[in-house]
Amino acid sequence: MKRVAAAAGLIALVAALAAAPAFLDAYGLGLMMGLAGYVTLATAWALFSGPTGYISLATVAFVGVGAYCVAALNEVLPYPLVLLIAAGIGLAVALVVGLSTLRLSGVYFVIFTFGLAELVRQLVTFYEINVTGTLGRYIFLDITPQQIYWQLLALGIVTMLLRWWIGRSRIGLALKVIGDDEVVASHVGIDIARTKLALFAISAVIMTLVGVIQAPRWTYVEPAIVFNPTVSFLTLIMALLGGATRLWGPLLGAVPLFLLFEWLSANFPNHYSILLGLLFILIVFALPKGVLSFIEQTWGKARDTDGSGARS
Amino acid sequence: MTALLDIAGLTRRFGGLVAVNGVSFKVARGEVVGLLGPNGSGKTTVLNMISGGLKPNGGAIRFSGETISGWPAHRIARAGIARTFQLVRILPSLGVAENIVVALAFRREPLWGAAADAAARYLLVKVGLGGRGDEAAENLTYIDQKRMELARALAADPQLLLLDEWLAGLNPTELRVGIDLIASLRDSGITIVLVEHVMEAVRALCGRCIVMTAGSKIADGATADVLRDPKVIRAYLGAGHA
Repeated sequence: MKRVAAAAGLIALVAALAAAPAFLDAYGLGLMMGLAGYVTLATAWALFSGPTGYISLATVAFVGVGAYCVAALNEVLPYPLVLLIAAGIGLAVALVVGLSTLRLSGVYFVIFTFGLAELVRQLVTFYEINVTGTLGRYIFLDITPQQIYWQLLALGIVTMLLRWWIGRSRIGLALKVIGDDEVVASHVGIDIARTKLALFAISAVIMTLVGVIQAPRWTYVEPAIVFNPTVSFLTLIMALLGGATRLWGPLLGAVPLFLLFEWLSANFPNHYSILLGLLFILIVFALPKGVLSFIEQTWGKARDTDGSGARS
Repeated sequence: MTALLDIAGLTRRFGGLVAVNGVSFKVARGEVVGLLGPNGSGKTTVLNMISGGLKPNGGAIRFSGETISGWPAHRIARAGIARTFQLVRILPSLGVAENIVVALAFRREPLWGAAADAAARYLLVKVGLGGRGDEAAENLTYIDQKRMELARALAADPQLLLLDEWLAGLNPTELRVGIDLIASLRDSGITIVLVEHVMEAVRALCGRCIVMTAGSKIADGATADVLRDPKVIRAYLGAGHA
């Protein structure tokens, strides 16, 4: 009964979100697009990094690859084909990167993924300057903002469902074990490299698709715009704020932070980066396990002190 | 009868230190073999090479007819070798039963869902943790964490079980229980190689012992004979006692 009610509530929520463009002005719709994009990115990020604890700063590398695929192919190929090709390229990049880096652990992985985004940006810049001769590209696609929003919403829902399903599957358990202790993982028969690679690739393909879908909004793209490392940092901090190990964590982190960033960039354009940095530090120090865990812990303590929650 | 485990010329170096130096021995199916030796003699390194945690620099390990040396750990685990660790390794973010389900879910014939949960709870009863499957693994006491780790190793349904000082750190009562538990595993037909310093346990459980010192095998035979061997006494207690 409870599950039926929860399912009905979710369906109503999705319906409301899908109908939202009818009630919003252009600014509101833009906001919703940004939100849907970041919720999807943060959830996709947490798909791999949540259970394994591998902090990736490569988000924007994949988003950027997606956007550049659209920029390069939008005049020669139909849109659905561009989506497919971009997903394929994102997958290929993820597999190459995954095979070469997933042996790295801790801070080395973080630095490598950050470097990767920069490397891809420099490679694209090099190619554009030396081969095509122009740095920027235009994207003229016959896609309305509503259609972009609906695509992002659908991708976001698919990502959430995928994460829910993986969380209950054997591969989800394998990821948790890997996050806890890789030695135990390998000794109970888990193929660590393959599991990590599979999840990294799925997460990367979703990020690439976010880049593809959002690209038409920009109209004009160049490497400095689509490979902006801030995107990676925002995604990371959103997932961490909500709690990267929880299904709803990235969403709960992404919504308030995205709105806050919008407000900050509108009201403090010159101090935006400083405020952003301070906020990062604050979140990591105050809520290292995310808001959801924090609420559960304080709630648990409150229950323990009045005796009803104590077990032994 | 061919040996279940056949180790020949096994060698492992850490930089200039030869931790295991050309060690060879065989373990027959159903045997319980003790691997003894002073601290730093290379016993755990041998176990790590059998389980795939470390790659040998030389020599070969054959397990039920297949050469497994050089295989990754997860492949060796699926071939039927399970182990516990010298310093107990629990999965702190999971519950007690889930710690067991992990091994059930990734073994050669995996169990998942309700079947895995039931099997996990059955194994917990077997190691003396009945009814405690829903507790958090990190809240268990040391001995209970060791029990849980043993249940996880058993959940893999191994042909060969490697126990690395599983009885260390137990008080006399717990030790008695622990020895009985391992004896019951032996009686069920599992082949066991155990690294152990507790002589009471070695005498009670192991039909045969292999003694290592400074990376080399110095004795291999029936437990009582090996423990009387002057070379073994010298390795443990010094030349004056031999």
